[in-house]
Amino acid sequence: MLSKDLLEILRCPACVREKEGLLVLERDCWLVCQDCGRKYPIVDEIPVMLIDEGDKWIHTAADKLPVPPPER
Amino acid sequence: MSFDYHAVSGDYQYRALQSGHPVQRFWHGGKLMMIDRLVRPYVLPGAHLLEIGCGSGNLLLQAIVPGVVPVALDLSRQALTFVHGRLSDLQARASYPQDFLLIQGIGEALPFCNASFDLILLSEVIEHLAAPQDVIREAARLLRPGGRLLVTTPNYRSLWPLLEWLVDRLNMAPKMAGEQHISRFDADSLRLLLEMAGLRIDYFGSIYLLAPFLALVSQSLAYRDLESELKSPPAAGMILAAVASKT
Repeated sequence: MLSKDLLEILRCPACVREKEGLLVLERDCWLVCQDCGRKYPIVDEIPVMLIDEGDKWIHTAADKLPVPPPER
Repeated sequence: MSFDYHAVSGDYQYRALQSGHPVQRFWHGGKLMMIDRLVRPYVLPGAHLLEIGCGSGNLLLQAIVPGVVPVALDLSRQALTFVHGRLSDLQARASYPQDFLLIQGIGEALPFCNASFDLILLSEVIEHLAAPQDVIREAARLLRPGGRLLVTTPNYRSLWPLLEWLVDRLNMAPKMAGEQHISRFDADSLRLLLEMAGLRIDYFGSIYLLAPFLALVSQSLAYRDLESELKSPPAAGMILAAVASKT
């Protein structure tokens, strides 16, 4: 289980240099950027914080995200 | 075509350390001594420690002391899975670290808020990048005031290019010249890179002048030599090592 304290230092890699890039944990296995809407999966307790991965899910509604997220 | 890092086994550096050729074993083992001398003095309980490009986690695990919060970042999922196992084993055996985090990501776009780390390890990563200044700028962004960054990279003003050619010719490691290693540094260019990011250089030198060759004769002789290289760094060692801090 990922530590809540450590998740607090995580930010969207696409936004953090210009904006806040705050992430919200959705359905225990997705991190959703509050600025750009990119969505980053957490696969086997490892967040996949790659911008191209976040891009793939940018138009998927949070309640339509697959649980568990697909393996890359 | 760029190098496929996913094709490198997640435990590559760990296996090299445990059972490689004597020079390769020393090459990886000597880095642990470097961590003990250059990094461990600054690792205090409560510190947040990040390794960018952790590979199989040899350096990160060497730097951990009780109370430290380690974060491992790599592009390779296999490497992260291996490091997850090592950190979980350490937790079970020694009851620390209490918390750790593994992140699949790249150094040029780090997914962390500003000033979130006290120590960052960046060992033999920048030579793999087309824009190494980006990862140094990112590391500087993540350091807290007073936080330190360790950078190491091959020194192309040394015997390194010859060794790199030899290792490639003998297929002793995944191909380096022109494939993994696409940016080349010497002391001047590494210093400049750190200074351009606004970092203050606290330690700068090179290691592995003679020590790796001595490993062909005796590991203990090689380690003794490395100890003195770390204290009085030679100019033309094959690995440049710098510790820089954020003021």
